[in-house]
Amino acid sequence: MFKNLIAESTAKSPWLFHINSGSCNGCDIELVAVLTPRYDVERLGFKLAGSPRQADIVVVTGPVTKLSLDRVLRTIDQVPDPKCVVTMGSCPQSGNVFKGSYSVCAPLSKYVHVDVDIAGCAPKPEAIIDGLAKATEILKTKRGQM
Amino acid sequence: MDFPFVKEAVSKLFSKPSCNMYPFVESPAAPNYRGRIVFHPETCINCNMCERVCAGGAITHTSVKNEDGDDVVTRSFDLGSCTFCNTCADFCTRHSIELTTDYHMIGIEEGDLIVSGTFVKKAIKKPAPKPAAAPAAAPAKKEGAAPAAPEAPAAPAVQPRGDGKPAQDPSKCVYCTICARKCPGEALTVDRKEKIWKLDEDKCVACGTCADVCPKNAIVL
Repeated sequence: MFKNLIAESTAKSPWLFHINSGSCNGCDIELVAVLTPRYDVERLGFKLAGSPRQADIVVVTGPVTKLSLDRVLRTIDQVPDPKCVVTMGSCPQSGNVFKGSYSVCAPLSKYVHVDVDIAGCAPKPEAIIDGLAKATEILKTKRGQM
Repeated sequence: MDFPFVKEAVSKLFSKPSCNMYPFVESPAAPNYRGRIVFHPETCINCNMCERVCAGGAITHTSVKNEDGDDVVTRSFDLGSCTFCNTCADFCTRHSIELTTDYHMIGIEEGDLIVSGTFVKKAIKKPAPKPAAAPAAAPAKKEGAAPAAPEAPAAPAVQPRGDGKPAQDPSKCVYCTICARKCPGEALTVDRKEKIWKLDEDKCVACGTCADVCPKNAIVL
């Protein structure tokens, strides 16, 4: 009974963990804007977690620089299953204008399975809400399979 | 005892929330927002200017020959690599690229964030009429107009070629080489010292960039 209750409540309140992997801060500002009272994503149950061990959804911004790659992968590994990896902005998906740089390891999908890509440079807060909603759905199906 | 904020607090208890209720209420983007790219392949002439100016390298094209010898060109825009800077649309002389206000760009499967369009680019004129038409039209004009310029200062305006490709007006041209530098197909050769303006008709895609950039309006299409 408790198991069901916990499963139901976690499905309705996915916690986010935000990793900045060398981002220009544009996407970070937009993600923070989503949490502010203007867009208030907390009304949909999302909450910024302080530690990856408490998170359900990992949001990665930035072009995954060489120095941050190891930290990003270790942080994502710490997130308990079922987890959902969301890339935000063009940088982690392709490297964007930093493509071909010696210090950039993008795309992130080379190293971990990425569930949702939010396109935009930087994406609009509404687009981020769309992406997080999709991530919640994916999380639900993953939890059902476990 | 005075409670100055009671009225305010009670009224706020029953007022609507001030936040943007996005998923339940549609929230349109600002009029000039640059979002999802829409490509109009029917007007594209494959000059590849967009690919050259794209900072993120988001634009690619593939070209396959069909049975008629025409090129079937597929141009793809990777929104996951795009900075939405609008430079491609600014440089497109045929206005084939458009950045819309649609911001709902979520990719779950591969290909979700790819915008592409296919068009057929007709092969350059058949070899048979070309040798006949080219010497008749191009050199006659140049040879006819060039000696005429020193004799009569009011040289007649050069006639458009009729096929969309540029023709030079030697009376106006100052051989500044801007057209040659801006030509996306590198079809123009301009020599400032020798006063030569040459068009490689095979490379020319009739995009009109040279006529747009000419400071003397010496190029007619």
